[in-house]
Amino acid sequence: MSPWMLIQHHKASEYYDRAIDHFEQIYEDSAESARIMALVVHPYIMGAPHRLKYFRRIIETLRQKADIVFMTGEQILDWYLQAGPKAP
Amino acid sequence: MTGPMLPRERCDYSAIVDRPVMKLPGGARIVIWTIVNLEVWDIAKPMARQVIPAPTGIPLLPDVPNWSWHEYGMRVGVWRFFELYHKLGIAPTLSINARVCEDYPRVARQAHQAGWEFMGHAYEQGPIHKEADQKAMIHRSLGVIEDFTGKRPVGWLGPGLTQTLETPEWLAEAGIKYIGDWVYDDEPTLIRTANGPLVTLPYTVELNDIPMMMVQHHESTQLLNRVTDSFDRLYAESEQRPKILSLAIHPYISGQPFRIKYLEAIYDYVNRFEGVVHWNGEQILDWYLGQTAAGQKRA
Repeated sequence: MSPWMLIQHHKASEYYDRAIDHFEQIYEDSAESARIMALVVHPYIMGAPHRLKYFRRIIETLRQKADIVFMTGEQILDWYLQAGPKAP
Repeated sequence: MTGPMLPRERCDYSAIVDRPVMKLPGGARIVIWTIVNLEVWDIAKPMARQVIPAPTGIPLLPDVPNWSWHEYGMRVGVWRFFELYHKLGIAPTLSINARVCEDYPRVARQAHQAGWEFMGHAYEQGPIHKEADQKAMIHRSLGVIEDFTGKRPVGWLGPGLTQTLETPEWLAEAGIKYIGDWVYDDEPTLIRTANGPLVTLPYTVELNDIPMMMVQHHESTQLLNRVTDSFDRLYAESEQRPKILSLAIHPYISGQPFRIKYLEAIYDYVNRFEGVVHWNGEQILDWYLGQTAAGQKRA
């Protein structure tokens, strides 16, 4: 997310817009095979008062879907190692 | 002649309003030329572009984060393009580093089977000024593509649109008929080389996701907004003379999940209008050569 706000200089709401656009596409893709969406934030950027609400809204929006889960990296790893098939 | 020609010496200045009006067949008004760019970013070299700079801004090799950013386009993004153009029944022009045929045959084969035009785009990505032997690189690039598809490309786009003053000579000598590097007109033009003329097609650095997204840093919606704004204007002008709208995209940029729907929406929009055709570069070339031949006969 530092590219997004501090290099590309988008306004704060772009974080929300891009994340939701991204989610909608891979949610559709996930009808065929599971998808993972990564969200990267830094406290000195997204934790700023003028940005935080857009991050919060993403989580609020995603949580409305019954068929998505929130996992840590290690949880994704363990799931992947069990689930296969493995991409080369 | 003592040295290579300057661009101004290759073509006379021509005002678009002074030229005879060409005609598209079947009552068409506007040609949409879609160009998909496929590249090879060699991990041993600095990456062609960077979405994320190294911490503290010191560039280091190998540049794995930016290499893998581009690689996403070949593994995932381009497959969104294939699905879209299959659904639309459109076969774009592929601006392809010849090395894609060697490193990503799965991708090149898919494009070939879908009937996409292969346009030469150097052997791998990097400014053409740095080529030790430009003539050999051009022949190698066209040869690799010809071996892969069975057809020698008639079109060429320099890597990053780069040329040296000598490049047009080498391209014409190698059998190239059109280039996309000269974005100086709405219409095709003819330029001189010591080895016969080349046609310039109106490729685009404006309706192009690299400048728009990665240099100018616009929001994802800007691709749709800018293309439909251009289309509206060109469509209105096409009442007077035929127009060509070019759209240049890269799978690691427009193939991202958060951008693809705006690309899809472009085609939903333009296809609602009468007289819109989707052609590749060679089709535009053939039409233009037919028009200029007819024009010469009339004159």
